Amino acid sequence: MLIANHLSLSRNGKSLLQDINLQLNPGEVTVLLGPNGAGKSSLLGLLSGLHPPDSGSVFLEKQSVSGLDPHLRALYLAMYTQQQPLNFPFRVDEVVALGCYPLQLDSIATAERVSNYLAQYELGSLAQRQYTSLSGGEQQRVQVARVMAQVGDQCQILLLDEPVSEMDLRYQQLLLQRIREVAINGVAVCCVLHDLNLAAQLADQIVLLQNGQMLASGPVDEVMIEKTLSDLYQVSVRKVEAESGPFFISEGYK
Amino acid sequence: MNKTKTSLLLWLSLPVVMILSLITGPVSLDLMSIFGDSVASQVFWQLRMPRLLLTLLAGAVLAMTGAAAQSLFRNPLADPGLIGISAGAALSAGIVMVLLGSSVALLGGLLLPLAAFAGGVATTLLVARLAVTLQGVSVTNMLLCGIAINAIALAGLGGLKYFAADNELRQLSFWLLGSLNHSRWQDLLVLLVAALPVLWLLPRYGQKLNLLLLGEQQASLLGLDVVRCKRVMILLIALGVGAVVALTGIIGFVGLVVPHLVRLMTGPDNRRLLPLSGLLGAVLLTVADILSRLLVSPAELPVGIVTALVGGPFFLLLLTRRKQESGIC
Repeated sequence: MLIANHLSLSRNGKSLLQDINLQLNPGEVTVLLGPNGAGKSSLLGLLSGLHPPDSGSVFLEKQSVSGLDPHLRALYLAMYTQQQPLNFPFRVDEVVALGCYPLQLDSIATAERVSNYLAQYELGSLAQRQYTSLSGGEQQRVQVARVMAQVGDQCQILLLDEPVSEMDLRYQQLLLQRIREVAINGVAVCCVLHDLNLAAQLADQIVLLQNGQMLASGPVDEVMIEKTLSDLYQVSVRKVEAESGPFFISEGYK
Repeated sequence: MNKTKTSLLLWLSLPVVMILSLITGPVSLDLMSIFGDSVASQVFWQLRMPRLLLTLLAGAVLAMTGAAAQSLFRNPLADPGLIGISAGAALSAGIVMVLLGSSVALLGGLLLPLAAFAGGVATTLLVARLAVTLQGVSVTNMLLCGIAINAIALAGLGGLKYFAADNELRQLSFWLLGSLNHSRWQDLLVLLVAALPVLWLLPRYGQKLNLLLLGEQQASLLGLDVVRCKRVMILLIALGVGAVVALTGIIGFVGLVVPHLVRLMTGPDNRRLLPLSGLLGAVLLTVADILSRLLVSPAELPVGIVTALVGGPFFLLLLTRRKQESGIC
């Protein structure tokens, strides 16, 4: 369980986050929604311990995240970041193998795990290709598979910052299913998304961020309502109930 | 090419170039004469052998630190020569040499390498500070920083010539071009002290450098102590480059060309790249040294001229290729 208390952060005099309180529970998927610049990535940065907050604290099972030894943190917490600056021509299987680094497996176990994750993300046919020669969507699938390969038995937290932004429909649904499976194994997941429909499909808990403040949080039905979403995104959002759950349509720029 | 075959081929080429280097020169040697008490034996034991060993070590260190610098800066163009580390080390050593004059020999010849090391550390930190922005490594800043540092160091070394005595003047000039001519056993000992830790430790950081290539945040999330790892890398690179520069001057492009060739053969994995770069660096610098002795025999060219003549066009070729790929540059 990850608990964030009264998190605040500012950079160059501009306040990015104010007084955020958040709890990520084992087995639960929390989806962060909000317009560009609302502070979603900054919040994940604080939750992961990559950056210290100006005030407030993040605790993972009673230990401060920023005080954790880097190796232990890598065992307990995995995170997919938006920027992936890799520009050396590693093969796809080599990139995924780097995700296994904190698990300290021998070379046979690593190879097994890599081929398992390549298969899970339908990357088998790309395994020997150079990462730098892939399309944006393919690169994203490789990096996501690398992060998922880091999620071992001891992992408690998985943070994902727009993991489907470049994926086509099939791979979006594939990843949603994989995230669900990770959560079922007892990991607390927090995921930033922009697609309201994917968010509604995936989330147990929704958190809405606006200008660095938490606007609302709770289950999909309570939080994802037309008025709130329309106000949040400054565009009219219509909610349509269907058998499989609600879906959302945004209706033009005004 | 098969990876095992590649490294086997590299290992086999090492004794070949070593023998070629030992038998190349104005005095011809035969196997018997080197064990007697003759001119040939003197040439062999006092000139060619230390020169060969110095060349091997310098080549290995330059190539391996080049490969490490490229992973540290996450850019294949980050050569310690191009980004100014060698020049910074040379300037620092040059200042100490001219300031201290003849008392430079104190400390058993360790003073110049130490000064070069300090200059190397300072320059690397400066480049890292200017080139690494919040968004990642700015290649433009990195290379421009190198241009500026190279210009400053060149001007500084040029200026030092006015204050230098004749003897120091010659040493300063050889620094600017890079030469393996002044190799004595005691130089070799100094280089060994600095080079062995570098050649021993750097390959141990192969997997950590692989993580750094993913990005600093990503490496940190995978459990790497990024700050500590970068610090160790900067120290080792500066130590290696500083020691080589102090003894041979600025031999350019080895650190750029060699890791590139190895990457073409075996891919970017630092666990293979670092040791094989060291090996190929030793082989290629020995070849360059043989060429420098043959081309204008019985005189010889500074080896830095040979490496620059080969490495410069290679660098230009890389730039055009990168432009086509519209890649990192």
